[in-house]
Amino acid sequence: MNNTAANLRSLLSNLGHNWMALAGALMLVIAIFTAVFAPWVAPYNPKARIKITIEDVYTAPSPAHLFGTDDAGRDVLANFIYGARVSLIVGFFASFISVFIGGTIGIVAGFYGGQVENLLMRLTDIMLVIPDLPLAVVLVALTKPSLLNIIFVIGILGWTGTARLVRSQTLSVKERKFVLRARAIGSGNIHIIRQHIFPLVLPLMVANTVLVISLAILEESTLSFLGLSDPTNLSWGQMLNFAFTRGGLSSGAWWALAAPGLGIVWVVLGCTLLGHGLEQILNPRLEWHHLSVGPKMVERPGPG
Amino acid sequence: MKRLFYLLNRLKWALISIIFVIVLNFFLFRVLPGDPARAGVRDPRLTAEAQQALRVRYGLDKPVINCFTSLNPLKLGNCLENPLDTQFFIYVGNLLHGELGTSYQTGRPVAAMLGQALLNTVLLIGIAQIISILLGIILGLLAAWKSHTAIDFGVLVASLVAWSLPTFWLGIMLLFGGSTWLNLPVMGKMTVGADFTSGFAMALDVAQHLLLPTLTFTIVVMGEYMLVMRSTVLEVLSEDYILTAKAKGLSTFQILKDHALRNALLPMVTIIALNLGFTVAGAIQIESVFSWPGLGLAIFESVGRRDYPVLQGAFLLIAFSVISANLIADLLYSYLDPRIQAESNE
Amino acid sequence: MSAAVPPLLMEVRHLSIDYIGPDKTRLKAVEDVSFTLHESEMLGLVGESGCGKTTLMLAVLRLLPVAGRIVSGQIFFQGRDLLALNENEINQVRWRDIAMIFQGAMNALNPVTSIGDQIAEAIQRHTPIADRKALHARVAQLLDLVGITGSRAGQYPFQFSGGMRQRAMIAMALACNPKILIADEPTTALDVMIQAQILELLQDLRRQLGQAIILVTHDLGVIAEVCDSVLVMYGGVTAEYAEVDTIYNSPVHPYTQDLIRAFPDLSNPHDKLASIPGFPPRLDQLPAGCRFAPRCRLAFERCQHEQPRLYELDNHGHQASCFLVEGGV
Repeated sequence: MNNTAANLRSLLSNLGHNWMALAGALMLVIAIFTAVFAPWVAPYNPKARIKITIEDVYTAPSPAHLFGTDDAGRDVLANFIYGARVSLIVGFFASFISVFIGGTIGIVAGFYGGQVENLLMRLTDIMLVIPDLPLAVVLVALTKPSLLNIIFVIGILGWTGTARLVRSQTLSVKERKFVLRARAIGSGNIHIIRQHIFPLVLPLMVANTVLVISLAILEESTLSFLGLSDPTNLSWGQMLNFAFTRGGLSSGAWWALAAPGLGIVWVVLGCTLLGHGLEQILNPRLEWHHLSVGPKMVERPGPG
Repeated sequence: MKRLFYLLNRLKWALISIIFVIVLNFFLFRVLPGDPARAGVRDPRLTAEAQQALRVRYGLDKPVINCFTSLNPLKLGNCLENPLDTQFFIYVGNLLHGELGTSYQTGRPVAAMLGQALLNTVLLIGIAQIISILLGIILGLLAAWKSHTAIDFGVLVASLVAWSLPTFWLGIMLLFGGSTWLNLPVMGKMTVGADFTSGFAMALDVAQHLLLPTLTFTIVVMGEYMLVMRSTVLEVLSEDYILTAKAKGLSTFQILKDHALRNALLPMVTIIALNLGFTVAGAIQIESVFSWPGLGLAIFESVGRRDYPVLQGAFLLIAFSVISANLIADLLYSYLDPRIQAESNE
Repeated sequence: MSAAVPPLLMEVRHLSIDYIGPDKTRLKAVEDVSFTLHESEMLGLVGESGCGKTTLMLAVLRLLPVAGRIVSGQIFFQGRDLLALNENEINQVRWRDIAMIFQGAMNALNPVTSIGDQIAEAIQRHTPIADRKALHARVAQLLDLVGITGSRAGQYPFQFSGGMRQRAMIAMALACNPKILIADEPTTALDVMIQAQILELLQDLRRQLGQAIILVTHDLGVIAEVCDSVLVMYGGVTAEYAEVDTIYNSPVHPYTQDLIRAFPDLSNPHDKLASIPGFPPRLDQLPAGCRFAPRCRLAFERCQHEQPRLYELDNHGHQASCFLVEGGV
């Protein structure tokens, strides 16, 4: 397990030099912080019982309500901050399921090869071809709309990318010298996987996990927007669903429509930047190519 | 000859996928909770006899498949009696005739309803995909060529942001902006109840309605294409044959066109094909926001109404389209890449 | 003294090339190198990996990577200083007057275009042939020159073996009848039998077509077989420059002497293999004095902190940069 820790540590230390990874990490940290400390950060408690009158519905941003109010007269900013919790929780847990399934399938397929690999990869190919969203829509709609359901459905539909990535990485690691040496001294398969293969596959998996999280959050917000989520737990997608289907457009309540969306963009962009940044660190590309534009090649002073 | 084998192999897998989807499709709607009959028969005033008559009409009185009378709740039945007179085989039989069943909601044949919806979705997706593929390729190529300059940075950031936008949210924002500031029509495919003096006038009206949804789609999909093209071209431009081309005295434009582009387009073809699943997801979102009468909207509406035959048919159509598109992409790739012949197994 | 010297084709004078390192520091890749090339002459450019041979050659056609800078010197070709040309003008010179074959032909050919098309591309760029049939005939003729059957013109690089790909590269390089052919380690990635074939091919072509060839290699045996003159480089500078016989029979630079001694002698198989201890200098850790001093068995005090210039040894162009021959032989 030393290998795993060492690999992760070197990955983190390289983070500092990559602007994308830094920016992404910063954005995510802010989002997570807001979600964790919601009760302290939010100006109001969205679940508190207060008296609402018709005038309170869809009011424009004001000092009392920085992001205005929504269709139920509630403060949009407060809902926004608490909504971060729901979106992030669903995103993280769903992607853990996906990465777990995908990683397992990938390592098993890559390591054991042969018929096992064939079968697993065929399964992956078929899953890839089936469009995610319609299937998710059907599964979630026809079972009980709840957060747990959504997490589960997104999780079991989102593992194909990870599986392919992990498999190809396992294949390349498998042929390395130290694996052959380990076999030569009689190490068992599980031991080889745990001690040698996994530590080398892990960094790429981490970069991939971040991207899977972003996809999961996008998918959750879409399913919620389509009305397939639990209406009592206001995720950002659910806020958008209410704003859209309850006259937000016709009331001109742009704040109720913009804010939750911006939240989604913030978190997803953070994940995307971090994920791409990590990928750059792990697979560094040359600084230049043969057609790179640069300063003049001939520098010497005038002829003579 | 080898290429022929490759194509036949791909065709075989496409067929297996389709069969898998058909079976999955069928059982999915029988396994999920909710009696289809009761779902299609919402009216609580119907007598038991009327309900039973409806079940017979929709063929729901027959056993689901050989040993199972129903799957949810699980009820076993006779394994040997009339194996072909089950819902499954009737379903498959109908499929082969191009029949997708009858809608619970409207009583009209599903195939007819979805046929028009499919065309509408293809119209929307088709135009948007073409524009975003062209723009994505050009901008990605440009960004990679001018790597480490401001253009590259701009394209990179723009792609990442575009990729991170939720499709439906971008649609809402554009909808808001378009209707508020540009007075663009925003719902549906055509202005309701309008009389068109000519085909051209009608086409113009449709085009106006098509503008915002297409713009939404293009922005979202273009992000991914730009990113992939950029990274592919970066790799290609580091290859030795680019230096050879430069040494031959070819102009930069010629090198980009004849050497870089040709090699970079190969992985792009695969990406575009893989992207089609995502495209469908985008279609559902955009059609819901703009009420565009396509397959996506059909799915969305029939989910709410528990209109299973429509759902089943739409799902099948979508999966079928994606599988076909992937097959076409495979064919295209094998045509473009001369090295495919050398590969024995995929 | 010898027979009439063929006309001068190219003269490189005091060429120096820097690389801009990742932290903006300057690394001296090539320093003050000069040589001449006459028609039909085969010049061998020899040295260990990283001594600057490839950099020197890339500079001639201005194909250096974006971090490369030519800081001083001149490259005279047919009366013009190539370094004074702008991008368009040098583009005309590329391939038509001076062609280059790169190290490792594995990836030097476009994998998705046929060999014939790639050769035709070169022809059409500089010496276009309007008639399609004539173009095909020319391509077939070129392939024939290098021993590839003309009917293979429609095939792709992956269908050729390593040796055949290198031949195809040569055919492509000759497409516009260049005056100079630069072959950068053309045989390094190939096995010995194919090496011999390629070398023989180069010699044949020189005899038939009269090109001058610059052969870049780290293999002294090859140089001995085919070259007329030799430029030995070390650490970016010229170690020794002379006709091939002189280099083999009377080398004066300690590095050249070591190189020749390190070459196994088949007539004395029991001799111990001699090698030169140590490693070539890194560009960012160049020695203060003579570049070879740290590894030189004849080095003395002055060598450690002063760099020797190139000294003339006779009037046949024999030069060496070593204090041992400062006053002539």
